[in-house]
Order: sequence, then structure tokens, then C-alpha cells
Amino acid sequence: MKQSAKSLETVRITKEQLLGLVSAKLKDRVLFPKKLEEAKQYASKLKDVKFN
Amino acid sequence: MVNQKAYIFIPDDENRYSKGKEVESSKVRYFFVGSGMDISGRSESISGQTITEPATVIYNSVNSSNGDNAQKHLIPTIRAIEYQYLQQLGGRHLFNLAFGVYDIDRDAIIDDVITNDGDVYKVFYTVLNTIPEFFSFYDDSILMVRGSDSGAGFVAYCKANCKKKCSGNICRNADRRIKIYQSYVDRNYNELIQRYNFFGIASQDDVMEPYSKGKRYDAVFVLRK
Repeated sequence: MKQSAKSLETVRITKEQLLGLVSAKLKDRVLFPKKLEEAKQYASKLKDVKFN
Repeated sequence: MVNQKAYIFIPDDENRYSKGKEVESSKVRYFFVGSGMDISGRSESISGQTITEPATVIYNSVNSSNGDNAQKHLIPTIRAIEYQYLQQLGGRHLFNLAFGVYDIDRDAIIDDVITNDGDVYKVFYTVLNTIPEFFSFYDDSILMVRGSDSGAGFVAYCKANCKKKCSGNICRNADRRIKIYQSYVDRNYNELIQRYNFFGIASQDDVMEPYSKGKRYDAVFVLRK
């Protein structure tokens, strides 16, 4: 089956390059906004404590 | 305003996640690829994840076991960890530990995914392995650990979408994450308390108490000594 040129296009990158790519794409994003909101709601109801 | 550091977590030449690379960002987060590692330091293959669709990125593992990069058409699971600043608690910064899977094709973070890839313990232990790094930046902070599969909201969601036939209010998928966290703490408690103080809260309405091994908590709080 003939595939489009786009689907065959590949880029070979190293592990560090992949992580760099991901890091750049996600820069300054809140990665888990739903979890952040849930955690903030949970934390807001915590009774304050004193730690030694 | 908390001065947060960003951090990208990459394996070293022996595929250990013992070193990190600081990046420009306003958040504390880590990324790692593959199935993770045991916190004891044993390395794990990072090329074990397969995909069935044509890839736009071919990941060539420099730590490949067979060394034949030309044959690889694999994209490893990319997982992200984020330490989220929440508020002040007891005069300290309170952070939440969050992690999930980054879907590079959809350019989206999937924070509720259960990968079922059999690597759940290695993933959790890799996540836990970043905690000392986090405290190296924020030694006076508090880290809150909760399971994203805990709480009534998860149970309701799971019952509406799950194929398991749990009866009544029972949900066999609930609380698995916090149980794994606590299992790790309990098994390594004597070693961990040399460096950390642990507290727990059984429910949101309760008062935080010193951690007790074997007791089930809704949230666990970690402070560095």
C-alpha cells in the first residue's frame, strides 16, 4: 500500500534530543492543570499546622 | 512568588536517572523516557515501548541493548513529573507531586492514563527517585503526595467508564497509587526517616498526624530533616 510522503518522513534523534524537544514544547505550560486545581482545593481545606 | 526551578530529568550513560538538566521554565518538572527504573539503581531497557502507527519521530536509543539503531521504529513512553506550588502551610511552601504521560503525537499531557504496561512499580519508583532532587532546591518545603485515583470523584468516574463489575460502592481501581506510595514508604521507613519526616492525613477533615506505618492515608506529606 502506498503511503503518503508525509507519513514516511522520519527524523532520527537521540534520547537527549527527544527530551529537549519535549521540554521545549512544554515550556511554561502547566502540565497537569486538572491535578493542580484539585490539589489546590484539597490543600485549601487543610488545617494549618506547625512543623518543628 | 515562589522562585521555582525547572528541571529535565534524563538518564545518564548507564541509563540511570541520577542526573538532571536544568531548563528555562517557571515550573519544577522532570521528564523521563521508557519504563523507568527501580529506585535501587538497577537500569531498565528504555526501548520496550512499541507503537503501531507510523512514527514521525524515530527514537534511537544510545543505550540500546542490540545496538542496531537502524531497526528501531519505537517511541518510548514519555512521562512528565511536575512539582506544583500550592500555597503556604505551617510557614512553608506546599507543593503537590503530579505526573503523567506525554503523548507526543497529540502534543498533549494525559494525566489520568493508566498505561497497563506492567511497569507501574518502576514508574512510581522513578517518580519517587526525583524527590531528593526536588528537595535539593526546596529543602524547607513540604511535598504533598496524593493518588489521582483517590476520592469520590474518581470512583464516580471509574464506575461510569470501567469494564470491571465492582459491586456497590466498591471500586477496585481506587486508591491504587497512594497504596503504592505508602507501600514504598513502609518498606523503606527506617532508612527514609533518617532524611525525611512523614506526616499523613486520613481524610480531608482530619488533622495532620505523624506518619504511622501500615495506616491508610488520604494524603502523605514529606519534609526533609
